[in-house]
Parts: sequence; C-alpha cells; structure tokens
Amino acid sequence: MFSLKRALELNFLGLVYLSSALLGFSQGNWQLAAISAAGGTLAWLLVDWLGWIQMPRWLANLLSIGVLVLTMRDFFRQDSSLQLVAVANLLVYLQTILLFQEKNPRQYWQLAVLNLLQVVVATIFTLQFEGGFMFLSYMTLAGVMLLLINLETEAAPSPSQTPAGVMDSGRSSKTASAPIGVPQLRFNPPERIMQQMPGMLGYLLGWALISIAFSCVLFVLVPRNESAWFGPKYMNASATGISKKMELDPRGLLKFDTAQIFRAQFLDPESKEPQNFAQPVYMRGLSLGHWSIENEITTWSAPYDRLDRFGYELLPKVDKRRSWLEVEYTIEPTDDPMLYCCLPAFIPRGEPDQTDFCLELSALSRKRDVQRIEQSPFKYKLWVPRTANGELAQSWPYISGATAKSAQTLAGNPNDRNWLLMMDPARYPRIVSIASEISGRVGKERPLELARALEQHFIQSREYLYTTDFTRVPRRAGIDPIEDFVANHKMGHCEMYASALTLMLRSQGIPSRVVVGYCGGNFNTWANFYTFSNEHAHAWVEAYIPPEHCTEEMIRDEAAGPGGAWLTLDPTPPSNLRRNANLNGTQALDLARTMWQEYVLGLDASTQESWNSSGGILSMLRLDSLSNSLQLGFARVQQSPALRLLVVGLILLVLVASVLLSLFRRPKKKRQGPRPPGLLRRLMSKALGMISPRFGQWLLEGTQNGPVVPFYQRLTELLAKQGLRRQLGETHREFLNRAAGECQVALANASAGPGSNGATANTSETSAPVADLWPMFERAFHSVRFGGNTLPAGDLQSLEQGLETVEAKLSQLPRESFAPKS
Amino acid sequence: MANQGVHMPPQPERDRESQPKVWLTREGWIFLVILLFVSAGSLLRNINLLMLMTGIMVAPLFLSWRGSLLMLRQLAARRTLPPQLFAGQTVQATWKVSNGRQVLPTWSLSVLDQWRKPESPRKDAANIRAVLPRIKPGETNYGTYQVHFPQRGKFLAGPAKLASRFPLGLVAARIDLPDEAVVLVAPALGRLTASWDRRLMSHASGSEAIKRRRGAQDEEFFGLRQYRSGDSQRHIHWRATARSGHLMVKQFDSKSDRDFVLILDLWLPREDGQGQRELAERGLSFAATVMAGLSVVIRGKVAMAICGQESVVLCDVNSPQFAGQVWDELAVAQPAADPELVSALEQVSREIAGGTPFYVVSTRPRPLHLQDLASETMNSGRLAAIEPWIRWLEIDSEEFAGLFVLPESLSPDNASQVEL
Repeated sequence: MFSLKRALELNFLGLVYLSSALLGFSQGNWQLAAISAAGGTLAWLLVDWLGWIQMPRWLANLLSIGVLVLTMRDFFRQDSSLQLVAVANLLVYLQTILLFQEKNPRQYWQLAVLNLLQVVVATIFTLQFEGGFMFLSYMTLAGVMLLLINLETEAAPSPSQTPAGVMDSGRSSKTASAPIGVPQLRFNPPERIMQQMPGMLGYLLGWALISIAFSCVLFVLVPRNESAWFGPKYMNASATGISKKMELDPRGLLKFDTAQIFRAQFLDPESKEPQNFAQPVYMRGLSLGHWSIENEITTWSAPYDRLDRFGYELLPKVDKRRSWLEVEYTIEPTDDPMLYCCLPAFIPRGEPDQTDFCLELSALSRKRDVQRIEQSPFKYKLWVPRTANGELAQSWPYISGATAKSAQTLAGNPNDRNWLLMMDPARYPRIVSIASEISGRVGKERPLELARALEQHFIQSREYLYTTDFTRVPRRAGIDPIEDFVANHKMGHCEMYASALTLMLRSQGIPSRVVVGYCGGNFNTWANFYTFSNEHAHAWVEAYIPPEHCTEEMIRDEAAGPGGAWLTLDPTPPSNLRRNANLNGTQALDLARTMWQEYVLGLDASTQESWNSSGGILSMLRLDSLSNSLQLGFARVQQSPALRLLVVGLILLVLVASVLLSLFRRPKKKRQGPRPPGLLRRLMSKALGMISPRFGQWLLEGTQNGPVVPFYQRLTELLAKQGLRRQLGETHREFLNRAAGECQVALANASAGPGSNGATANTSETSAPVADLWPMFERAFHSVRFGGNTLPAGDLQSLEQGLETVEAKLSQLPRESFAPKS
Repeated sequence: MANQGVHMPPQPERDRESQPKVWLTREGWIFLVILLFVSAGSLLRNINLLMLMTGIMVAPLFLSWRGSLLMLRQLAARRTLPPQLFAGQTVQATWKVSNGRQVLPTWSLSVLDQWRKPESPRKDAANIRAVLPRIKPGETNYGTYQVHFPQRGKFLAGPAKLASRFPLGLVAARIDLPDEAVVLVAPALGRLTASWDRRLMSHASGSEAIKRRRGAQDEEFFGLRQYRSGDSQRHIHWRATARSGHLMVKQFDSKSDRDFVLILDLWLPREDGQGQRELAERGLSFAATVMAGLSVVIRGKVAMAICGQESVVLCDVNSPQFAGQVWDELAVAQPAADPELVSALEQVSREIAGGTPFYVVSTRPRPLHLQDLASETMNSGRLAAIEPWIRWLEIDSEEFAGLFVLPESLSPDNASQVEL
C-alpha cells in the first residue's frame, strides 16, 4: 500500500491533470494545459519520486516574483477575457514553481489553493458537458486531497508551542530558555494510518453524496438573473449581414465534423408534444443567387455588392394556430449573426424581437443593431405551418426584396428576375440540352411540373452518384466542372447537384437560385429534437413559381403567396443525405450536453420560473436590482478617490477590530449549572407528569442515551420515599452530593432527637458509614451510565451492601423527611 | 495513586463541565475566504458553475463542523503511566480512549497533553500530542507518547484536550479535560556495588543486628495491596475495594525479619551550595536505589528518614506500598541548611529494635560527636545510646563511591541532555 506521502503526491498530480484539462477545455487553448501537466509530471518524477531536485526557497521566491511581474504586465494590456488568461497563466506558473520544492502539508495547501483558483478561472470561461463531468471529478478528488493533507498534518509531529523541553523530532532541547528538569516528550507517529484509508474514504464518500445533494438543492433554489453567464468573450457582429460564396471545383476529400451547430425542436402548440417528420427538414441559411465565372469556375455568391441596400424586416407576427408548429431553435455560440430556420416562418406574437429577415438573401439573422454577440447559445422561437399530411411545406411565399410587398410578383421586378436567370448557355451545352429535352416533354408553360421533372432527372437517374471524395473523380480539363459533372463523370456532392439544377432551370427561363443551409439533422429520440452539425450542411435549389402556377394546396398551406412561391427542390439523391439517426450512446451524450447547457450553464430566472409554481416567489427575489446596484456602486467607488479611501479605511478598520477582538476577547463565562432541558421537553414532561409523575420525570432525564442503572434506580426510589428527588436541571453528581449532605444532617438530627443521649459519638457512628457510600455510588453510576462499563461482581456486592445500609438508615427516619416544607 | 492520570467522565457531566469548543482552522479560514470569493462572483455575475462550486464547497464546511463535533461525542479518556517513575527513565504515557457510540467510529483523534513543574507557569509547559487513527464503535484504543524525566520532582500532567479535525481539517473541535494529575518522579536509580551488597547481606544475616520478633501470631495484618490471582477471597477488603475501584486484599506479615535504617542528611551550606546540591541528589538516588533492592533482602521493618527542608520519618514493614511512599518522599525532598538530623535519629530509634545499624548518608563529614549536632534539650542519653550504631556515609567520600555508582548520563549535570 502507498505511504501517506505518496498518496498525497499522486492525488495532487491527479488534480494538476484535471485542472489542466479544465483550463484547456474552457479556453480552447491547450498550450497552457500542456505546460501545467508536463510541469506537474516532471516535478513529481524529479522531486518526489527520484529526489534528484529540490528547489531552494529563495530561488522559488525569486522565480515567483519574476513570473508575477511578467504576467501582470500582460494583465494590464488586455481585454477582460485575456486578463483572465493572464491570471490563469500566473496560477499555472506559480504552481509549477512550487511543485519543485520539497513539500510539507502547508505547501500542499498553498498548491491546492492555486489549483482551485485555476478551476475557478476555467469555470468563468465556461465548461461544456465533458468539462462539467471533469469538474465534478475534480471536486471529489479535491475532497480526498483535503483529507490526505489533514492526515499528514496529524501524523507529523507538530512544532512545539513553547520551548520547554519538547523533543518532537527526537532531538534534545538544549535551548537556554528551556527550564531545567521539565520532562522531555517525544511524539509517537500513529501506526497503520494508511490502513484506515478505505474506511475514511467510505465515510467521505457518504459526505460527498450529501454534499452533491446539498449543492444541487442550493443550485436550484438560489434566485438568478435574467441571463446566465457563458464566458467573458464577446464577438463583434457583422453589421452588414452575411457574405457567402460557393466555388464549384471540389478537389480532394471533403471532411465534415460532428460538432453541433444548432438544434431545433418542433412542438405541437397545444399539447407541447415534440414532432418528428418522415421527410427531411430543410433549415435554410441563405440563398446564393449571383452566378459568376471566376477563374473559369462556376461560382455562386450572395450579392454582397448590394448588401448596404438590402432591406431587413421582421418576420410577420401571428397568433397561435392549431395546425401550425412551434419551433424552438438553439444555436451554439458563434460570431456569425446568421440564423437558420425552415420557411415559411412566422414570429409568435408576444415573443421578443430578436431576429431580422433579409429579403434579398431570404436569410434570417440576429437583430442588426446588436454590435456585440455574447459567447452563449442563442435561442429563438418561430412558427411554421404544416401541410395537410402533417409534414413541412416544400415551398414558401415570395416577397419582393425590392418593395417588401408580398403581393408583387417577380415579374414586376425585372432586375431581380434577370439576375435570377443569369447564366451562359454556351458554357453548359450538355446541361442546356438535357434541360431542353425535359422541357420539351413537360412543357415550358408549366414551370412547377418542369421544375419537378428537372429535379427528378438527377434523383431517378441511376447514372448519378454522390461522392465527397474527388480524388478519384476523372476530371477533364478545359471544361466547366459543372458541365463536366453532368456530361461526363456524374459524380459529385450536393453543391454540384444544386448548381446543375439551378443552371438547368435558368436555361428554361425559370428564375432560381442555390440555397445553402442544413438538411436532415439527427433526431434525438431521447430529447426529441433535431441536431445539426457540419455533416448536415447541404445545398439545394429554390425555383420561383408565379402565383398563377401555384397549386391550391400550396396556397392553403400558406406555402405560396399572392406574389408566388419559392419552390424547394433537392436534386441530390436522397439515399446520400446524412440524416440517419445515430447510435443511442451518441444520442444520450447529445442529450446530456443539451441538459448541461440548458439547466446548468444556462439556468436563468425564466427557466426557474418555468420549473415550479413557486416561480412567482423566486421572481420576486431576483437579484437583478441588487447586482445592478452593486455594480453601479462599484463603478462610483472606482471613480471617486474619496470613496475609495473610505472603503479601504472601513475594510482596514474591520480587520483591525477583528484581530483585536480575537486577541483580547474575554473567555466565555462557564455556564453555572447544567443546561436545562428544552422548552418542548419540559412542556411534554409536565403534561405527561399530570398522568404519571414518574413518566414525566423520566422524560426529563431518561430520554438521553445510555443504559438504565438498576442500583441507581433503587437508590433514587429510596430517596424519593423520603421526598428527596433530583431537581430540574440538577446533575446526578449534584443530586448525590445534596443527598449525602441532607442524609447526614437528618440522621444526625434523628439520633440527637428526644429518644437519644445526644452524644456526638453516636452521631458519627450513625452517619459515617452512610457518608462513605455516596462517593462509591457516584463513581459506579458514572462508570455504568456514561462509561458503558459493566461492574464486576465484587463491586456489585459492595453496592448491594451499601444500598441495604442506606435503606436501613433511612427507614429510621420518618417518611418524607427531606421533602421541602411548605 | 497520582500517576494514574485523569479520567474523563463522558456526557452529560462532561458537557456541563467542558463544552466542546469549535473553531475554524487556518486552512478553514482560507477555504472560507475562497468560498466567499466564489459565491460573490457567482451571485454578481450569475455564473452557474461557480454557484455549483459554492454549493459543493459549503457542504464540506458544514459537514466538517458537525463531523469534528461528532468525533468527540461519547468518548471516555484516561491517561495512564507506569505506577512508579524514576528520573532518567523514558516511559510511555498511554491515553486510553473508549468510544461509547454504537455505530460511528472516531477517526483521527488527537489527545493534547501538557507537562510542567508546579511552580512553572502554564505557558512554559511542554506540549505533546498522541494520535489515535481510529476507535471503532464500542471499543477502546490507545495513543501513546514518550516521556523522559531528566530530574526527580513533582510534575503536573495536564490539563489535556481531546481534539479532532476530521475529516478535512477545516474545522477543529476540542474538549478540555481540565484536571491536572500530580506525578511524582523518584530520584534516578543507580547501581549498588558488591561492597554494599556484602554489607547488606551481613546485616540481614544478623551479624550486626538483633533479630526482631513481632506479634504473638505468625501472621498479622499490616497493609493492603491489589488483588492477585490466587489470593483468597476471604481476604478481600470490600470497603477499600469500593473506594479505589479495584479489588484490594489484606496483606499479612511473615515471620521475624531484620530491620533496616537509612537516614538521609541533606545538609546544604547557607552560601551557594551547588556542589552540595549535587551531593544531595546523589544521596537521594542512593536511597531510592537501596529501597528498590531492599525487598529482596529485608522483610522486617524499614525506617527511612529524610532530613532536609522538611523532616520526614517513615517506618514500616518493608512492602511495595512502603517503598512507594518512600520514593514519593524522596521525589520532593529538598536539602536545607539545618536539617533536623538528631530528632530524626531519636524518632527512628524509638521505632526500631536496638542493635540495628543506622546508615546515615550525608552531604557533610561525620562530626566527631553527634552531640555537637544536638541542642541542649535533646536527650543526650538516647543519642549516646545509638551513636555506636551509626554508620556514617559521607557522599563525597571514596567509601561512598565504592558503594554506589550513578550512570554518568543520569548525573544531575547531564540530566537535561539525554536523547530520547
């Protein structure tokens, strides 16, 4: 088994690793974490295990001062988040320096404090679920650390408080100040202390569970502000919206990560039941309607040269409708103000105005007047209509970007129309040819059917393959990659399919555009929401359908408006869409991450209110006003030198007063007499005493722990016959002393009464034997009652004889001799 | 006996006399400051993780408080030392602590003890700690430390404290055991040489003394001792048993035995007598050593007179109890400028049978006539009668050096420098 010292070293090494990992997770910067972990490992190896190095204290102090100066220099230059980074650096460097010294329990405490402060900094930067799990592990290990430090302190000889001959270390005390002849004492270290560790850890585990339960209760009940803190970082939001570009010349292997971008939960507005769909869900990002050729490559982009003239409007606000769905979106922290949503979408009446809709780009974004974005998840709610079969609509109403009028068709905006038809047919002969062929069969006068037929060309054809690995795609030089895709290799990803279809549509006079966003997602069956990550990024097509060609169904489902509709077309073969449900383990992890973010990191006043009916009370206790007042006050103090001086003076006064009080505090007067029983017990004793005085008396004294002592019971019964009973609040010792005194007097008076000679010799003969017995009764009683001892037979015999003596003597007295005379 | 130490009665009497004291340790204060810092940050900035940390930190503080108090509940503690202590010895002091609880063990209990001389202030006391890692419920465990007495004398052990910081060392609780036990440490034991053994043997065989007969019966009750296995239950003295808490039996005398007399003349000149003090210490050690060896040889009456600041005459049949009394007196004896030697001699002579040698161990040379020491009122006849039996041993003489050797480490000037 490890020695205590080794256990302490390894435990602290574990804390170093955990705190390093927490810092790395929180900041996203693993350099400092690596320094911390490497420093800790090296220190343990060289100092603790091999014993090769031991930094002298003066060197450690010098290095610490140097580190302090360097990091504080950085501290004053940076913004708040980087100031925290400077603090974290300082803590890690100081810890590493201290680790290279020889460590005693006091230094382990210093190290533990530095380590804990690192974790505090990490929590300020925020921790996701994985970090949270490590955070709880850290706190548990820190508890074990405190236990080990305490044991190490206890097991080591403590420094003598006086110089008087104490030889804890085994060295004789030869100080001149030591009085001669004072005993010399040597501490015996406790044996087998590590063997007690399993039991102590079991004990600690119980307390840890209680601590976690207590902290959960405290965490839930403490009133919160409106918004939770997610970190010190802020991002500058782009005020001009979004600019995206798609260059269609993919090469190499495209990879996608699974980091969650956002999630969406579809709820029935009345039952609040989550909804899942058979058809893939298209979460629109923005449309790339501008076609161009750059470096001989087809390029789609947003018309960023006209961004300043774009119109932004709120989505329409509507009242609740039974057939619609409420969608709750939560987007992970990002500096991009663009949001994602299904269209058509509406804002529920009563919801705060958090979003703006760009008409030209048909893109949702955060409010344009927000200059800084907090590094926290962003939530917004929208309404979406459902079709008759319960699915989401596959089109949405056209609203003119130029006029923002829903009744105006695209035909009434020739510039936009031409822009959405722009392409070079000569560059895409095969694309045009296929489109014309299909158009010949379906008919150009039926744009809705034609658009669907062109979409089906890619889906139903078995020649087209989906791939993200372009290393094996045989490319032909001198030909546009999209033309090459359609005419030759027929292998591509969603962007190529979308581009090809858009070009086909445009070639047939149907205004269309490429749309980028997310499609499908993973439906988490545990939490009943869709999660979208980069692997769900997708491109599809929107084709403009004039109002006269929109079906009644589209109009009824509010998927088409007076100005027409944007029809959603997805030419990518559906079997290749990455929208399958993932494994249960991953779903569970996603749920855990979501729960952590919602209910731990993001717990705020509104969430608390929604939890229980007493939310109203909690809301009254909100700390908004208090924290605002405190912040205002703090700002005022910072600005005013006089106030600063006053605050510092008050703090110093309090400190000095505390020190003086602790030094010169008078010792508390010892309570005179025993502590009386509590009020409740006395009342109950009185009430019960009306029925049974004995039971009432027992309630006062007999409900304490401890065994019944038979001989003492008999003695008290004997005395009670004479009216001598233990008073309220009287201890047994006091009672017996009183009994001894009163018996002596009573017996003396009895023998000096009318029938006696009055000789003092007789008095002493009468009372002396009884007087000797009281100390014996007292000792025996305490030994049994409180010491838990069993009296040996000889003692019992002596007590028995003593009781007989007392009984005999007391029988000579009249009854109730000791009763208080009224 | 004083060396049995202090007994701590458990609750509730203990509660009345010494309530547990609880305080935050230094580490606890640091912990509290960090906790306040974290909680302030969490409340002001609504940092939920810090709030979680606050809860996780508050609970251990609270539980440390209750835990440390719980560790001290229903404990009974008692200090025990060897029944007889001598200077120069290193002994083990044992704290026996019993856990009266039925369920919970006591972890990491510290017993803080104190030793000092009665005349020294408490701040000069030597402090020591005994640690008991664990005491199971309903069981007893022992904590020990070593004590070395460089010199004889009277010492005070205590007051002691029971303390616990279990489990996290943030909060400490303590119960004071205010009783002080008086511990008497007899002079250091040396080594008696063969010369002394020969003297004693010849004395015991009767060549120098008249055998003393005592009592008509062969066995007479003369004292009490603790019960030993094999003793007859008829001889149990119940009253003494009830008083002491241990079984005590009556002790009986055996047949005729030789008597022995040793008188210590602890004379000290009025001027600075450091040298004489050392001689007096040697004499005291000699007397203690002689008492330790007498039980083997002498079963008769032993008279011990110590003439110093106080004149003490002890005379009784040799027994362990008597030896203990003698050692206790030797522990506290102090030399003086005018010890009452003559009256001690007279008193002893009345107790002891005639013809018994009087060994006078003195720090000064023998006067030519003892009457030189006597006042005019003294019975010069009695003194003259015993004068021929006086065997004067001057401590600072070669003769004495040939009888008794004190190990150098135990000599008074080296007493405080012994390594444990």
